[in-house]
Amino acid sequence: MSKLIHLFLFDIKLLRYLYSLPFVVHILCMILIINFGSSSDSPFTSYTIVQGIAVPIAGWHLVFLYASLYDNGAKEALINYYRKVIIIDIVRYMLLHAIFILLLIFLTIKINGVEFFNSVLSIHLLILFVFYQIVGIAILSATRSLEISLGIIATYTFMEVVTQGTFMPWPHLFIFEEPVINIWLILTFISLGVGILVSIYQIWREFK
Amino acid sequence: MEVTIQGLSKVIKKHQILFNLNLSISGIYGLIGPNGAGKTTLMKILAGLTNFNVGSVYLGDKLISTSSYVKRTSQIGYLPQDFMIYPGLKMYEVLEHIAMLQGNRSGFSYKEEIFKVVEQVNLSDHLYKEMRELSGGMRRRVGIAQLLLRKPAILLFDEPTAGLDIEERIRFRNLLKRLGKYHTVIISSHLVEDIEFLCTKIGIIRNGKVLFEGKPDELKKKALHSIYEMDVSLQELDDIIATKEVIQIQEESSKIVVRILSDKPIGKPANPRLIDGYLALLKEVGNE
Repeated sequence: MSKLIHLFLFDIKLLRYLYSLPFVVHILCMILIINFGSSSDSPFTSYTIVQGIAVPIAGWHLVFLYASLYDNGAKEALINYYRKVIIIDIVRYMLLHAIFILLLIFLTIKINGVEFFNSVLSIHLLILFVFYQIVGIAILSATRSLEISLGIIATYTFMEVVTQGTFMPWPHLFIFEEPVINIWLILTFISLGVGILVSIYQIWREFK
Repeated sequence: MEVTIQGLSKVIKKHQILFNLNLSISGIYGLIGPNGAGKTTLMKILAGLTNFNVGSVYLGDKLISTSSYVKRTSQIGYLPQDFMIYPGLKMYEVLEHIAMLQGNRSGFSYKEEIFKVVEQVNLSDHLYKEMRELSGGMRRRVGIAQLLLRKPAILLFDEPTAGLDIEERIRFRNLLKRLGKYHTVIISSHLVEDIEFLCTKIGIIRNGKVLFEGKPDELKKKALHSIYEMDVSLQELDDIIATKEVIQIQEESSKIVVRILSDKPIGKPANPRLIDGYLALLKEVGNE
């Protein structure tokens, strides 16, 4: 337990004000859902806020933290230590952000009713959450640049969410309307699954 | 503890970086060679940071890596040439974190251990300074402190004194000498002067091949009959530089003394130093 507390305290010292950014965004998402979720005609407005803002931002902590590994000479010196804790790091930030995501889900249920979260959306949100937790470290370990990694993730997410999947002619990571079992929905799940597997492989290659 | 390298080769993108290396490393071991010789690659292989294609590495009598197997061991600590971690954090916070990540050992007191290693590297007065406030040499000493927290038997240093000012370089050399009493230390450098001061055994690598392995005196002997000194005038100097292999020029009061590497006697024979032996060896093997 003392090790866990130490790890969180160290992360706060390392990131300083940046550490609070994902939490600020989570609170902002709550305000958005409360204000716009109930007044919007589409029941998917609050879900879009959860999947398009809260879930992606939940993965940022690990990207910020692991960027330290790619400072000058840091990787050679620190990789042995990071190898020991990478799984603990991923799990502890997954659990921490899961609390906030659950709160947002609770708000969405309050607005749309419990039936809104059918099995398809529930599984989608879970897979999307896992994907965003690990894809950042995977891209960071491949590009070795915080700016490029954040750029790739933020640009892709922003374009998909703002255009609601109408701009890019390929399967999307998000669901913006009542899910119907068709090829596009299956491709969404396959894309997320492949993304998770590729990310795991890249993380394993880097930290094995 | 001895490190033994047997038949080690590494190829990167069809380019052979290391050729069938056989080395037996103990004491304070100096790895010398020109840039691109394969020194850093070899250090990274020993540190378990990169793989290789053929060969094996033993720590004492235990096999620690082959081309298909690398045993992660805290017995080996590696300090890269550029060392900068967590620039915004205080040295104490960095070391405390690393001590914590090291894992719990019974009866292990982080604070006590940190104070001990910081004292060893002579940085007690800077313990609460941010990493970015420390000079390059101090940061490298923090690098050593974090390695010492792991209590490794083998310490690997890649170009440890490169880019340091004279004072810091001397301080660093003395520290490495002290560490050599309790650890096997491997130093890769192209600064032959540092190697001469520090090392009890030397390996010379060029183009991925071992050209020499032995004691410093054995290397010096390579230049025994090929190093000469001559007193020359300022007018003669240009001619000498153009026609002979001059390795040092020194002004002494009214005269200029040049040190020359030559197969034929020229001037008076001089006592060879390590750098003379190194240059004589490179000349002897030519473009092999």
